[in-house]
Amino acid sequence: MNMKQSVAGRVAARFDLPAEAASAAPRITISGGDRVLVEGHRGLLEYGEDRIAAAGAGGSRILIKGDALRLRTMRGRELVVTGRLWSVELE
Amino acid sequence: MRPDRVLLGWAELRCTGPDPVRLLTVLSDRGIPFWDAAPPEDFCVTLRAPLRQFRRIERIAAAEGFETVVSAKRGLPAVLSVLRRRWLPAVLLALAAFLILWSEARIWNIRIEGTERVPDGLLRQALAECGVDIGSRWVGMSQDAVRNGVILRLPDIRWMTVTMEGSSARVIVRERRPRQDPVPEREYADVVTDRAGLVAAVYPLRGTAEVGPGDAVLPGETLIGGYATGRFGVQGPVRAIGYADLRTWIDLTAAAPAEASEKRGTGESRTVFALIFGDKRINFYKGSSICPPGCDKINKVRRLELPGVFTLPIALERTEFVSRGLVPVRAEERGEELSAALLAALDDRLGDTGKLVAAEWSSWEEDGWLFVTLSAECRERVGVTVPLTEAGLAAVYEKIPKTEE
Repeated sequence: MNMKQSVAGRVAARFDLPAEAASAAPRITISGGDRVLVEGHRGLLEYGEDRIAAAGAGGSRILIKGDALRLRTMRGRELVVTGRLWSVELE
Repeated sequence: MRPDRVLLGWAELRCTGPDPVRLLTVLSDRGIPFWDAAPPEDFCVTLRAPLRQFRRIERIAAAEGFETVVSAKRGLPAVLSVLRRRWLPAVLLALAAFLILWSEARIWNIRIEGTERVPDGLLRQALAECGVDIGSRWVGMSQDAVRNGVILRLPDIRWMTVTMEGSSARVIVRERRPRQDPVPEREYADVVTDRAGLVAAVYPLRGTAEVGPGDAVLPGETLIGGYATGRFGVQGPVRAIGYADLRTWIDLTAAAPAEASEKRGTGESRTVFALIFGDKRINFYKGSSICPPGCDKINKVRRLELPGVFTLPIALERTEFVSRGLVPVRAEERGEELSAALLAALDDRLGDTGKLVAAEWSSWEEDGWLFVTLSAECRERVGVTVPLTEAGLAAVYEKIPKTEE
């Protein structure tokens, strides 16, 4: 799996394609400081008012910290979080 | 709330089990959409999901060891489900909607504004002849045709319009008024008084004042002459404009039988009701609604309407028959009535431009009659434009100083 991802990543780099188009890398979009869209996550790990964590590809972890956080929608590999955002970290 | 969610309906679910975060991931993996999931508390998570996914969520949650409870169901399917159980409100709602839709295209109430001299009854009759009547359809009604038809039938109406507010027709009317000043603008004229009195002040805006403060004048006497004067005397004829304030004294007397009886309520009354549906009525009483002798009939109609939005063709009419009998009237009351009538007559005569300065009252009885006299001192504004006669015009030309050649 890792090798397959690595090959896909190399192909994407060779043809100057966005990484998420060729691999399962998560894409994180922050809008206006109060909304985060995470595409390509691997499942929810933690859910609290001040932190939400989701699993990324290859054992990575997406950590959203903030205040009054809320899981607005979740479907398939997409989730939308709203609230007052402090940070979005990729561990 | 998104319209598709309202249309398809949604349920608020409360899932209690060992790992609520994992349940959210499982639901997401299975492609079940959900939203507004609250942070889990005490092994419990609340979320909203489409109504049609409820059974599936319940099965998946049960497989994960969760107990699912529906807190609320919302949206159109939920409303329809409630209406299925309670059919009477649904039928009434549908009936009201049908009545509103059916009645919207018809006139159920006519409100008339702006009439002073033309009786409302005559106007309603003319409107009915032109197609604006209770129960008639207003869709396709031509404003111009109605206006022209009514103005042809009632020449005292100068302009009118009919606007629809729901099922209420609002008729706004402007009546024809007699011309205030019949003298053509370019004609030479004097300003004369139509009252007798003592001149308090003269205000000549054009022309020459012929009277001054303290002068006594009689009706027809010239206040402002129709000629202009300058440094060298009379310059020529003009159309005089202006007015004068007069102190006037007016005596008014009223008489009435000293001993009389008057119809007054005896305290007995009977109230009946009728339901008016369109132009039909259902009486909730026996017999006729004609007023019996010695009774007054008072009608009050309450319409089922939301003013300005819609008017339903349903109205409740409340008719009260009040018995009246002859009651002797005391002389003091009679005197007060006569005084009030005299004041009203004086007010009518003074109009907007006159005012009462002082009043003296006297009353006496003679041959079974009560007389009341009002002696009033008033201040009135007078000034009537009267065209110069040929003789008057010749007199003006006579006054113009001759120059020697």
